[in-house]
Amino acid sequence: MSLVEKAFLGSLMKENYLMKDTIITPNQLVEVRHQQLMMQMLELHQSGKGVDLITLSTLPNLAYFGGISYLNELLAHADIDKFGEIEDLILEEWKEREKRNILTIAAKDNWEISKVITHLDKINHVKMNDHSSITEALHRMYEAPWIEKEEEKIATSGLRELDKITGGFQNGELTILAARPSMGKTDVMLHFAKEVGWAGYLPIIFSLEMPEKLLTTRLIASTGKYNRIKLRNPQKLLSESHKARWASVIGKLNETYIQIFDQAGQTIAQMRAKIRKLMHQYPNRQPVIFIDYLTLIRPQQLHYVNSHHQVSEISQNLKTVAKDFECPVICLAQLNRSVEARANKRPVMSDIRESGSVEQDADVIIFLYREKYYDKASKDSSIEFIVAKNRNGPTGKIDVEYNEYTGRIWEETTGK
Amino acid sequence: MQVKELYYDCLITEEAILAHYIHHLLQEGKLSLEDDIAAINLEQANHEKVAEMIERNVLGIHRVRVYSLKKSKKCFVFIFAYSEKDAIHYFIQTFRSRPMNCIEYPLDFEFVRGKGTISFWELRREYEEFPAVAGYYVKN
Repeated sequence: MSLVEKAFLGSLMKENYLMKDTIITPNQLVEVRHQQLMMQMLELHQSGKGVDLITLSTLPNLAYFGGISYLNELLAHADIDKFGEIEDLILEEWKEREKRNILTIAAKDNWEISKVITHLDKINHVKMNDHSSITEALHRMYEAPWIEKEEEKIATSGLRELDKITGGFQNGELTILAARPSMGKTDVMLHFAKEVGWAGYLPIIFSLEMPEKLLTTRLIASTGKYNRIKLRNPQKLLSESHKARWASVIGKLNETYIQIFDQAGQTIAQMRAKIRKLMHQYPNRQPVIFIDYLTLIRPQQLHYVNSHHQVSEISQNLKTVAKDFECPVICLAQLNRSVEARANKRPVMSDIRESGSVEQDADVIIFLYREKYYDKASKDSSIEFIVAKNRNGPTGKIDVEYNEYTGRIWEETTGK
Repeated sequence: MQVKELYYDCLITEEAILAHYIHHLLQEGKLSLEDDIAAINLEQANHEKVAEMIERNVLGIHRVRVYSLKKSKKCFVFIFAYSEKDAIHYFIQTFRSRPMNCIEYPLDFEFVRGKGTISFWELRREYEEFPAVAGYYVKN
């Protein structure tokens, strides 16, 4: 009995949306009973019914599938977080079986070498959808000069100058936003999240550091221009005019569709499962993923000795998340203390903690720098965005206004 | 509570008799999944038919139970099995002796394993085939 298949079918029963997602077809399962069960489940799903114990209990040939007890057992094995791995295992096993099958027949019938190779190649093609030949690619480009370009929806950062440099957050790209503690990273992240939300995207925030309640307060403060300190006791500290705006601020924020997960120490696999679920809940909105912050992500394996390995594993995984889901990923990161030792405290790439792999994997690296952070007497309230790396465009820096009391960020030209 | 939830609970906890009753009433159209459970009237059911369904085990509920079998004065063996007979048979096969007694335990029974508590329900999920030995208990 294959445990992987049990886990696979159990997961399908538990979360029906996986049925649309999965790359496995029924005939790739070993057990005939499992094959049939999966076919039944797919049929039920296609006819718009939910697939759970209740609907499955109406199957006429329930006894053949082992009855409710067996289905219960399948459910017990379900593991949504590891669904990707489960699929891979099944696929691997299937390939192995097919390979043996082909080789046996080939030996028996004395196939030609080329025939064996083509047959074996076919198995490998199952998961290959990343191929496009230059002919096809050129075909798409052929008429480009004569066709008026449709305005592409971009995941805007809400800052025009920054968008000019980066072109907004691009699909499949990993952006690292790094700064010293309390420089304003989380405020900038929330600003981005709000802006992409209003632009019609689905911002998903994984806040490993701050609880959801604090984030919500910050969002309200920056949107409604309230002083954050006052929100500790809004009933007492807010003025009447503040209160009059309250409802409209909440209404405006609600339009962003921001989704927050604030469980501490999440792994990338858990995040993937959550993202996938949300993508099915909001099929019309493309996700933009925010993670606060990099080193708090729990690695799959614990490398106790070398934190460098941990970070490189995580940053690679973040890049794959961006590519697999075809969406932008924005991850916050901390800087190490070497910045403080320099005369010019503007950060450079090597200042990112455990930087080596992060520098490679990120497509865009943005640093934040505030004059006022170091010089308390300074009147300069602006925050500097330093684009230190940009794989598909220029680098540069821009200044925007920042109110450290409300956490609001805005550009001079766009007005207050 | 809706019928749907109760039915689901029955299926999960493998309460064969109630599950078959609800299944029957749903089939006959005398009940719908969205009804409140107050609407369940078992008198409406055709008892003979349900009895036959349970006999044939239409829903395929094979409830695994847990039994405590006394091995010696101080040692007890817990065995997962479909019936008492199975459990005793398995005991004899494994230990080459007859148990001193055999008592069914509730599956919800919780005990300490490692750093946490676990119930027989959860423990059962770790087994593939039944009957199987769940564990031992030695009295001090």
